[in-house]
Order: sequence, then C-alpha cells, then structure tokens
Amino acid sequence: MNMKNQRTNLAHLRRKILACCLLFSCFGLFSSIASAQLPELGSPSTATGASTTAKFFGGATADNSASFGSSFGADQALDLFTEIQVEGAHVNTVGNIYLLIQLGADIFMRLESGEYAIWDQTLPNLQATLPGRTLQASEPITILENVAFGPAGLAGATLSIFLAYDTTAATGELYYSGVPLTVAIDAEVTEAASLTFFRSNISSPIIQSNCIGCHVSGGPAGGTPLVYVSSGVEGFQDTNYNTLLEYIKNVPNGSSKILSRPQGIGHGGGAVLATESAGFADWSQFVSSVQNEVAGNGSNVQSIFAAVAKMDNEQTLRKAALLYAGRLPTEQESASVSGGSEEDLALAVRALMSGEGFESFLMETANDRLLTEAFSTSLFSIVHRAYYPNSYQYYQVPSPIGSDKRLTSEALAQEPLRLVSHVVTNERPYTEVLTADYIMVNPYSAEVYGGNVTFDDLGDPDEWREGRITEYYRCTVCGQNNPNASYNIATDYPHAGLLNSPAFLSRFPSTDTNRNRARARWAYYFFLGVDIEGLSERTTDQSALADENNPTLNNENCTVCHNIMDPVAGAFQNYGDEGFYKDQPGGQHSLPGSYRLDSGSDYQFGDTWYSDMLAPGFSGELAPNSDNSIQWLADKFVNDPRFGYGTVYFWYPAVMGRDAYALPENPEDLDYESKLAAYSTEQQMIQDAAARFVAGSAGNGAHNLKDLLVDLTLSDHFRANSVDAITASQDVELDRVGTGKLLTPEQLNRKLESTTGFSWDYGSFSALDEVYLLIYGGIDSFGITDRATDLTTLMSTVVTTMANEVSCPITSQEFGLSQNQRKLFPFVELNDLPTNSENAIRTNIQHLHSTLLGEELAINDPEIDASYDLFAAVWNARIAANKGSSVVSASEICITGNVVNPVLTDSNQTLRSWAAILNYMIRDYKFIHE
Amino acid sequence: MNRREFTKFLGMAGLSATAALPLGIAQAAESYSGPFYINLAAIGGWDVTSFCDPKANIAGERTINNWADSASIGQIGNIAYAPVANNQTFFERFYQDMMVINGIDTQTNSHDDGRRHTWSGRLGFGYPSFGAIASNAIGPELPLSLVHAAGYNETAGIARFSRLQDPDVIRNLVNDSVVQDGDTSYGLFEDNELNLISQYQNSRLSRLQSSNQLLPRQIDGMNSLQLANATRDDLKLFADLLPTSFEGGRTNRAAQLALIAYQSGLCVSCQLGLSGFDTHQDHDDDHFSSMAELTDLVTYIFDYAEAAGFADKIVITLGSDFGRKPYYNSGGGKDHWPIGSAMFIQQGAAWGNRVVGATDDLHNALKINPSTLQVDSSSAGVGLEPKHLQQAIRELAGVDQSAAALQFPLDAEDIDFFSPSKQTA
Repeated sequence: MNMKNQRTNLAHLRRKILACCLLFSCFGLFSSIASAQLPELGSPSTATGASTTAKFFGGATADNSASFGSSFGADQALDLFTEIQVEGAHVNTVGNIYLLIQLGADIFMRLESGEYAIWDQTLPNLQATLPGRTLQASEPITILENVAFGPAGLAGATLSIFLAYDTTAATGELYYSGVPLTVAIDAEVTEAASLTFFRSNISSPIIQSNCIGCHVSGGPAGGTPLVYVSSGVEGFQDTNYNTLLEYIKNVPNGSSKILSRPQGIGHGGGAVLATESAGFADWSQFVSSVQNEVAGNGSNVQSIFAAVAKMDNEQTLRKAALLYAGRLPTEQESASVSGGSEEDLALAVRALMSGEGFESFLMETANDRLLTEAFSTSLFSIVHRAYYPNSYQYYQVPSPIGSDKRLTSEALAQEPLRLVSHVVTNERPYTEVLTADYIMVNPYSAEVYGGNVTFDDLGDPDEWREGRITEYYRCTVCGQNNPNASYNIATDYPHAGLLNSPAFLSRFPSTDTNRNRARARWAYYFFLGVDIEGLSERTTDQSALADENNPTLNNENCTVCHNIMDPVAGAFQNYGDEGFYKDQPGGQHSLPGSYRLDSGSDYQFGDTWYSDMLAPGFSGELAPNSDNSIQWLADKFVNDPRFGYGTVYFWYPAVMGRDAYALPENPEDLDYESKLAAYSTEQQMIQDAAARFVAGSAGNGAHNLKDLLVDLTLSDHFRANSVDAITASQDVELDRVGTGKLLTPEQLNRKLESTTGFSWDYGSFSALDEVYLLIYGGIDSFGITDRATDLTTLMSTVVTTMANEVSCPITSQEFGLSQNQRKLFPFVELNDLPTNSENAIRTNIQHLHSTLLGEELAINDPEIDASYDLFAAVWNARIAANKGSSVVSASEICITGNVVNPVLTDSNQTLRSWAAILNYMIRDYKFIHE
Repeated sequence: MNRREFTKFLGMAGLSATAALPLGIAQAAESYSGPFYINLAAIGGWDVTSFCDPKANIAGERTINNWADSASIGQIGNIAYAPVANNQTFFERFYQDMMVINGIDTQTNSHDDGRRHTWSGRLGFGYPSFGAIASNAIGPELPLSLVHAAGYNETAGIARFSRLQDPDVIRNLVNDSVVQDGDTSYGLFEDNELNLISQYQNSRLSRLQSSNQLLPRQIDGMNSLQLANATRDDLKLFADLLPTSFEGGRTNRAAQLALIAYQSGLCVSCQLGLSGFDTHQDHDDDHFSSMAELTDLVTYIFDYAEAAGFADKIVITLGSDFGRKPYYNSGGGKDHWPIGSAMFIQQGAAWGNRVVGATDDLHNALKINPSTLQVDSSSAGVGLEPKHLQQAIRELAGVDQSAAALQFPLDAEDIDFFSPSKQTA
C-alpha cells in the first residue's frame, strides 16, 4: 500500500479502523483461556525464508470452544483465540509479539496503546502489540470474546488475522503464521423494505382479509396468476409476497394492473379497496416500493450518479444566482462558498432569494402552472361589470399599454402570482397560498376589488398589499340583459388563497356538466401533485361506459377517478362556471338553471350542490358547512401528506428545467430498467425534499419554500455536471439531468442584462420578454402553455440577432465608463492593441470567459488562445482594410440608442474587435445554456 | 414591433443614404419535396356519429343524434356521412381521396390519455408523434422539419419541433445581421467579421462536443446548436415565401405557415389542431360549428396546395382524443366515449373511397379480420386501436422500418389497410 492510496482512502480507512477498535477493544492476554484444541495455522514462516519450529494456533468459535469455524453469521457472538508456541531457543528471551488484521487490501496493526493503525507492509514500520516481552513457550492471546461482527459494521467482511513475534535471540528475523486465522462474516440479510411493509400493512389487512377468499387454490380466482396461501401455511407471508413480486416483475403492466384490480377495474371480484381508503394507500405504497426495489436490482438506483461529477460550490452558486436572482454572484458571495461546506453553500443560495430577480422567478414559475397571465390584457375575462361594479368604468374602453385599464388587467391577472411571491418572500409557510384570508391588490386592482387598502402611491402598479374583495355584489335578479337585473347583495368575499382567487377560477372555468371537476383536477395537480387522469388504467370495454345510471357515481370504471375528484369539485360549490361567487339569483348558491329547472333532477330549494354527485368533501370526509367548503378544503389540502410532494412537483420544472419523469409503464421497453432507475431515484429525492420541506428541517419553519428550493439546488439532479465514459444505460438514467438547461427567454434576458448592463429593447418593448418571447420558446399562457426546452434553428435566429445587435452597443457602453466601473472590460483600454498589449487583452478575454460563460480558465488555455486569435484576426482585418475611426459606417452600424454615454470613435479598431468577441460569446452554447 | 419601428426609434435617419448591405449567402438547402404529412387533431373528442361513422336513431334506445330524427345518413361513393355542418360538401369533394377508419378503441375517456394514445399509438407515456418519427427518418437536418401548432407534441428526443408564430417577426429574425429602415438595409457587422465569428464559434462548439464527459442533456444542447448553426441560413428560403398578408384565423394561419414551410423545402410534417370539440353542453350547435371549421380547414389546405402546385403531396391524418357518447346528457351535450375514427386523405390515393373498421348501431367497436377487413367476431378478429392507425401511417410514409420507428415499436397486428380492393362492408 502506498501513501497516495492511503490518503485517497482515508475516510474509508477511518471507518474501518473505527470498526476494528470497537471490535477488538477487549483484546488481552489470558493465559488460561486458550484451548489446547485450537487449530494450528499452517505454514509457519520467517521473514528471511528460513525454516522455523515455531507454531501458531488460532480459532474462532461461537459455541464456547465446542467447535471452531471460519464462517459465521453477522449476529453471532464470537470468541477469537490464538496462541503462539515460540521456538524452544526463544523461550525466556526478550521479544515482541505482533497482531495484524487484514481487512480487504488493508492491513492493520494492533498498537500497544490498543489503537489500530495501517501498516505499510515495511518491517521498519511494523509496531508491536506486546513490545519488550519475555517470551514464554506458549503465548496464548484472546483477541476478543462474545462479540458479534455485524453490529460493528463488518457484516460481509472477511478478516485474516496474522500472528508474529521477533526476539533478540535472532535479530532481524520475524516469525509469523504464514496462514492466517480467517474469519468470514456473512452479509447481513436485510429484508427488503417492501417485504417488511408487506408483513405489517398488506398481508393480514388486505391479502388475508380481502383476497384469500377467491385468490386461493381451488377458489374462484384460483386460475389467475395471483394465487395466495392462507395464514395457516408455514411461511405464508413470504410465499404470498413472492407471488406479488413475481407478478409485478413479470406481467406486462403488472404494476398498473395490480393497482387497478382492487379498485374493481378488470377485477371479477369488483372493488375491494376504496380508492380513498387507507388500505388502498398502503397497497399503492407497497407496489411503489416493489417497483423501486426491482429497479434497484436491474440498474442500481443508488448509483446512477456514481460516475457523475457535480459542480463545485462556486459553480453551483453561479447557476443558482442566475436562476433565482437573475444575476451573477458577487465576489463576496462566491468567496463565502469557495472551499466551504454544503451548509455554506446552502446559506449562500438561500441568501440569493430576495429582490426583484427572485420575485420574477417566483411569478414566472407560478404562472407556468397557473397561467393567469393569459388575461393580462383582458380584465373582463376575470371580473364582470355586474358583479364587480367598479369595473364598469373600463367597459368598452380601449386599453393601450400603460393605461389604467391595461394596468388593472395586469393587476387582476397577476394577483394569484403575487400571492405566491408575497408568501414566499416574506418567509410565510407556503400553506398560506391556499389558506390566505386575503387577496393581493395594488392600487389598480383595489379600484375594482375594494378592500379599503391604503397605498403609498396610488399610481404605482408595483405596490402590492394584502387586501380583501369588498366590492363584489351578488344578484337578486340576474342577467345582464334582464331589465330587472339587480346586483345588490353586498358580499364580504370569503378568501381561500389561490383556490378562490378570481383569476384562478376564471382561468380554469367550469360548465354546467363539468361541475367544477376541472377545477378539482387542477387543484389536485397543482397542490397535491396528483394527476387524476393518470390514476388508473382505463377500461378497454366500451360497454363498461355505456350505462346510463349516473355512471360517475355508480360505474366503477368512472368512480375510480370521480370518487376522488367529485367531492373536491363539490368543495368549489359556491363558485359558478365563470368563477363568480354564488352567482345565481338570490345569491345563495351557484347551481345553474339547467340543473335546478330540470324536471328530472332532485334539486330542492336550499341545495347548494348537485344531489346526483358525491357530496362536497375530501378524502372520505364531508365538508361540514357549505358556506366555507373551499376554506375547509384548503385546510385539508395543506394538511394532506401529499401537500409537500405536490409543492415539490409544482416547483421542480423551474429548478431543473424539465418536468419530473413519468413512471415508465411498459417493462418490455428496452430501456425500461434504466428509465425506472431514473424515475425511482428522482422520486426518492423528491419525497425526501418534500419531507424536509414539511418538517422544516432547515430550521426556518415548516413549509418554507426557500428551503425547498435550496434543497433542490443542492441535489445531484441540479448539480450534475459531467460524467465519465457514459454507458447506454446511463444515457437514459441521466437524461436531462444537471447542467445544460436552455435558458428561457426571460432568464436569458436577465442574464444578458446582469452580465452586460445592457437592455435589449425595441423602444418600450423588451426584445426577449416580449417581441421574441414565443419564437424563443416562451408561453402566452393561453394557447401556448409549454415552454420549449430544445433549441431549434428558428430559435437560434433570436440568439444570433441578439449577438449581432447588442454586442457593439454593449462595447460602446462599456468603454464609455471608467475602467473600474466596467463589467466586461476592466483590464483594457481601446489603445491596448495586439501589437503592444497581448497580455492585457488575454487577461480581459479570460475575464469575459468567466463572466459570460462561467469558465475559469488559465491564461494560456486553448479557449483563451482561440478567443485571442479571433480578436487579433478581426483587428488585423480592420487595420488591413483601413477602416475609419467611427464605430458607425455605411457598412456597419452600432445601435447605441439605448446607451447613455456611448463611445462612437474607434480609431484603433479595437472597439469593433471587442464587439466581435462579445458577439462570439453571446451566441455561445454556454451563454444560452446554464 | 418590427425592425422599421426599431430603427426609427433609434434615430437612424442620418444613414438612410447608404447602400443596402449583402445579407449573407444562404446555403443551398437539401430541399425536401416529398409528401407533406399533416396531422390534424380535432381537440377534445369528436363525435364521429355525426361525421364519418354516422348513426341513425334506434327505436327504443336513447336518441343518438337529433339530426337523425329528420334526416337520413348521406352516402357518397363508399363513404357514409352525417348530413350536418359542412359534411356534404367536404365528403363530396374528398371521398375519392380518403380512407375512413372507424371503430378505433382509444381505451380511455381521459383527454390527455386519448390524445397521447391516438397520436403516438401508445396509451402510456413516452412515445413520439408520427410527425416526430417522420421528421427524424426523412428530414432530420431540415430546420423546420417538424412544425407544431397544437395538439400532441411529444418528440421523445428524436426531433425538435418549431412553432411558427408572428411571420413579421420571423422575417426579421431570418435576416439576423441587418436592420431595415424602409427599403434600406444596414449591416450590423462586416461580412468578413461575421464569417470569422461563425467559423470560430463552430470550432469552439466542436471542441466542446469532443469532450467525453458530457451529460446527455449537454450533448443534446450542443447538437441542437450545431444543427441550428448549419441550417440557419436555410430559413431564408422560408422567409422569402412569406406573403405580406396572412390568414386571419389562428388555425388557418398556422396551417398557412406550415404549408409555406413545406413549400420552402424545409418541412416534412406538421401537427395542427382545432379546439372546440369537447361539447359536454349544447352539443349540436357547438360541435357542428367546430366540425365545419375542421372540414373547412382541410379544404383550405388543399386549396392552398393546389394553387401552389403541390396538392398531390399533401397527406392528412385526421383524428381526435376519442369519440363522444352515442346519446345526449341532460345538458344537451355528449360526454366522452372511447370509440372514435380517423381518416387519411391524399389526393389521388389508390386506397381512397374506402372504409376500414366498423361499429354497431350503438357505436360499439366491432372486430375486423386483418386480412379481409370484414367484420370478424371470431378469435381471428382484431379490434382496431390507435396503434393500428399509427402503424398504418408509418407504413404509408415508408418510415416503419426506420430507426426512429423501430425504437418505438407498436406491436400492432398487420392489417391490410391500403389494399384498394378491400374494405369493411
């Protein structure tokens, strides 16, 4: 063993040494204990190769020396006895006794102090266990007594114990047992988590209580692949577990089927586990657990990141700063994490989460889900002049940019997003996005909603405060075309955070037959991470859907989803199709006339929900009061075990640049195992992050979203940066993991502005945020709701247009500043030429690589060479062409309209040469990806 | 905001006398002129009992279609149709060019699942659309190889779709190295400098790509940029064909831009879609209106292509999430029904004027014999599913044995869809 390896494996060795110390701490010399029947260790040897008459004995016993063996269980308590019978000539001479233990490639020597140290296998460094001892004819040594190896962390290990001695009678010689005492400890048999769970939650309450009646040999389901044995049969739990395991592993879509059968789908025995029951939850957890373990066997779940190198702290901080703060980290921030711990990094990342950039991140992310910005130019898509009379002033009024009507539209559309931002930036528990008993208003939306909110500046659309809707009026007689219409019932709007935000409700409208089911579906999806549409494998038999007996209530093919969805839809009972509160005549409910007046319905006066649907509620519990069922639902949601998971699921795409993986469904797919490994690893990470989020593990209170974002940022999924010799399976397992995310147009805009100090605008329009938003993969929140994550040729024209248009004005702007004020050119002036200042130019290029591309390169790095060569090539060409001294000419313009103090002369031809370098970097892969 | 406004804003008047700058030489594209595969989705679940699988009402059963109380099922050639919306005009024009596939069981009444199943051939996640497979197999290097406007957009990493919005913006972007002021163009950099920048950028990208430590996402991103760099100039072919005025409606404009993309030789397939078919209420009025829009859109596509001289290259696949129940709900709407239909349309197709697949009078799917195509309730009969539809279009396009298609096998029975002499009676 060489020292280099020793350093490399230091941590590993420390663990081993610790185990040895714990294990062999009872080492001692007990002359009367060693047994004469100890097996002799073969091949007594000497260091010089001379023969010896010395004998060595050793044995391991688990039965008080009744027998000796070499292989033991991890939990067996062992005694280890040894004995050295020295050569006769060595008796009563002074010598040293050595005890050496080989564990793997390492050899540990027992020191006199009782500690263990690595022996480098050189004689000069060999230290004695019993130094300076007068040797006796028999030296019995008990190494340990009654100790189990497994608990010491040595399960699965094989130890080789060598004995040796030397003596002053034969200087330079060492006598040792050529064959060691070998003790192999069995690996601990760790029961699969799914089996443990099966024993406790599945076997008795489900299999033996619900299934065994039919799924037994000779039973009605005895011919199916799922045949169990009863509890009277020895080993019944293992047998039944293995039956399920084989089914899930080997039957196509086995997982899906085994989940749907107990719900009655494709199940001759009908439904035996209600979807909302605890039993079904356990069943689902069991199947998921088996899936994870199956994936782990096929492709090591724990090791998909084994060959992956992560970004270091500074690199991670840079990505995080651009993502959350829309800027680069300061030198101080970078220094705070350089060489630091994960905790240092976590603190630094968390500190980025404030200010305008973070609010933009929060609102963009929230809108990617909630999509309420779709109405940012159309306030009457959210409110109605009859229910909200203060909006009447804008009826049939044009809404040019900057007008009160446009600003009001924007405020109404942003309101739910502002709530999210408000809760997070103020470190409130994230649960408040559903439980908030208020609505966010600015001076413009307050004009419509009321609430008696006091603002510092009534003309400031960025001043947001908590308020309430007080200017909503229900109707006694409804209908905008009804001459007797009367919207006169004053309403203290009962807020429930996002759930009854007017913008949210209008963005996810309902119909008389949909009956709030869409709202229920999206509420489940956004806040609990449950995609109801994906809950079950659907029927393959159209006749199953053909019944007319209220199938959503009675047909098991429908109830599998509707039993979950419809009670939550009912919790939205007070909100009509367009989202207005108790919008029907009299202002007591929102049941449409098509239901109330239908002679076939069971409607009765006073009803607030459909009698032919499940009652309002959630998870098997009924909402106790129709007036506040949405507030009740909010409380149930935030206390549901899935709320943490749903929150991670909501924010995950913004951090990772993609949605979480879907569960691979077809085991026959060639890459199924790899996909399952990727899915399982990610799910584990998400579940862990959710648990910490709910528990408030970071110490900032439960449900702190900033802590969740930090958690995700520090994950392997975010920080993965490179991989060694990627394999085909890793190509799937690491798909879309780690760095290399294409920046969204909004993110690219913030990066451009923060790194260059330049805004790419066309008049009052942001090029990236507005003009090219959709072309570059952004969303309009209406028809286009998915962001593009891959660069297309068309999208690339935005990048080249940007590079061509902004690089000259940026350069012109920069050189108009003093050197210490510049972001990009702090090391050069325009009179630094390739002919006289190559070092300065290279140093500045090095700075540009760092600032714009995140590359920390040596001054002689090939990339610096290439950039310098480009600079020199452009400069030489311009000199050769005898270009004029203006940055603007007939054949090349520099659009400096947005620059305060532009430099417009370029007598040395360096400004244009630097502009070319900026152009080169702004269109670079690393500028548009992070 | 266009470049003209842009330059006005920046006060470029002083330079208006300068000559227009060369725009950079467009690379000669490997122009594509093969079939143009248009996948057109009736988003929301269409009622094929009021379209290509018409159903009369059955005594003693609930009303399937109100129109059937006063009208009979139409027939043109071998194809039956419902006499509502603009169906008669549509079928009379295209019946000889179309194959109707009835009785497709999508096995779901969920929109997302149905969309995915219909357009990828698999109910589960992860399979690409046919357009993505065609793009990969036929024109992976084309900059607008796959155009997406609406509907299912999964590419499974084998293709990249382009969205074509505001054509004025696109026109300006394609000329990325100039700004325009009136009829005068101004260069932003000297051409030789732009060439140097491109050359150095490509070299650097090659160096980055040469690393053997890249993550899959990084490899994909670099490959995308490399392809974009290599084909960006080709977009000028598309921009040059853009007219000064465009279709007014969102869907027609999307179709127009996709057709221009094909016309420019840069596009293999597109995914178009029209919403408005999820008519749980007031079915007849709303659904028939959407149906008319849909058939009118098909008509527009062929009209455009005929005027441009490539109508014989258009291959349209019409489909939907699933069908709608063969009776009305209490709100006069129709709810979801897993059985639906699809349709191929190609001018002059030998397989036209045919119907494959069938449903019974209550719109339950019937099995057919894969060889004779006749209804076959025996064990030899096959129930049609979206995988058969997708396998058929793959075969029609000749991409069923491509690497992309083989990567996503459909495991579909071999059904003799395109034999001109056979159809389901």
